[in-house]
Amino acid sequence: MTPSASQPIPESIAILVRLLRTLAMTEERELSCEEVFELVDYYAELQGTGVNAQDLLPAVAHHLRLCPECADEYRALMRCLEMETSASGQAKSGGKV
Amino acid sequence: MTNERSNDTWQADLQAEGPRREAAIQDLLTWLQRRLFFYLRERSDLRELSEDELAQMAADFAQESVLIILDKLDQFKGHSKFTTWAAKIAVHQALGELRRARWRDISLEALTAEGQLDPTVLLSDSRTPEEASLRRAVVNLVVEVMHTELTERQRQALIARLVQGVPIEVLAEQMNTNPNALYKLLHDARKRLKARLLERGISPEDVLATFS
Repeated sequence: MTPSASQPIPESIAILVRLLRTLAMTEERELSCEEVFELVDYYAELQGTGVNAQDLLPAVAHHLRLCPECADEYRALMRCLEMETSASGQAKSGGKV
Repeated sequence: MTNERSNDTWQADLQAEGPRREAAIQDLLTWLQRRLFFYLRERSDLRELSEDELAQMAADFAQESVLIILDKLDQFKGHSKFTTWAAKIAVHQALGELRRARWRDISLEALTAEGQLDPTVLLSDSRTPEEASLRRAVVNLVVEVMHTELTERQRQALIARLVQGVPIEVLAEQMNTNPNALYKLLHDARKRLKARLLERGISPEDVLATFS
């Protein structure tokens, strides 16, 4: 029996799952945080205009799934940009990676 | 007005002298401050702060960010709107400071303690003998590979990052390196660990599926 969605996941299992998930996502070539930082404003604008940024910049999307800090900064950037677009009546993008 | 400036105008105004530059700096400061406040107010970990405290925090972050932006003006390539580029820098500055504040006063020894990778701890939540058996195999292999295939620095970094969740810039500082070099060290460690698991017939994806 595995833990159901309604049960809290024990921390020890969460650690193992986090490790396995990270290994599963590990690729031979990846962008570093610095390389993603260079591209993330462009990526955010693409995403904000409804273009599928994940398809155009898959390496950035991959890094954002792997790196919690860059993902956090990307979501924060999207929220800052949404403040602008919502003020001008445009649709929100939801900050999806 | 902020929205009326093109990218070229932003750059020209911020590189000008006198009142033109001062006005552009003030506009940028106000623009960033409002957005940082809007974002900080939503953060659950800052809920205990008053609106005034959050406003002050946003003002401080915006002020620091503007100095960085002015310093990096020649690095703006125009791939996005100037304000998006500036917001990226401000967000990086603000969140970096929040992360460093949260992890302040934690030693490298504490960050890299291996206790949570102890197989007995990891297996303590298993609910069936089959589950315990699978996890025992995976955990023992992971621990073995980490000790035989990774360098001490790779092991320390991987544990701190994946087990403890230490932010990369905090860990880089503690390990006397820079975030870029640390990312490469971690990437090499992950690749090696994954390769060794696959060589022994253990696919991370397959094991993950047993936890879903």
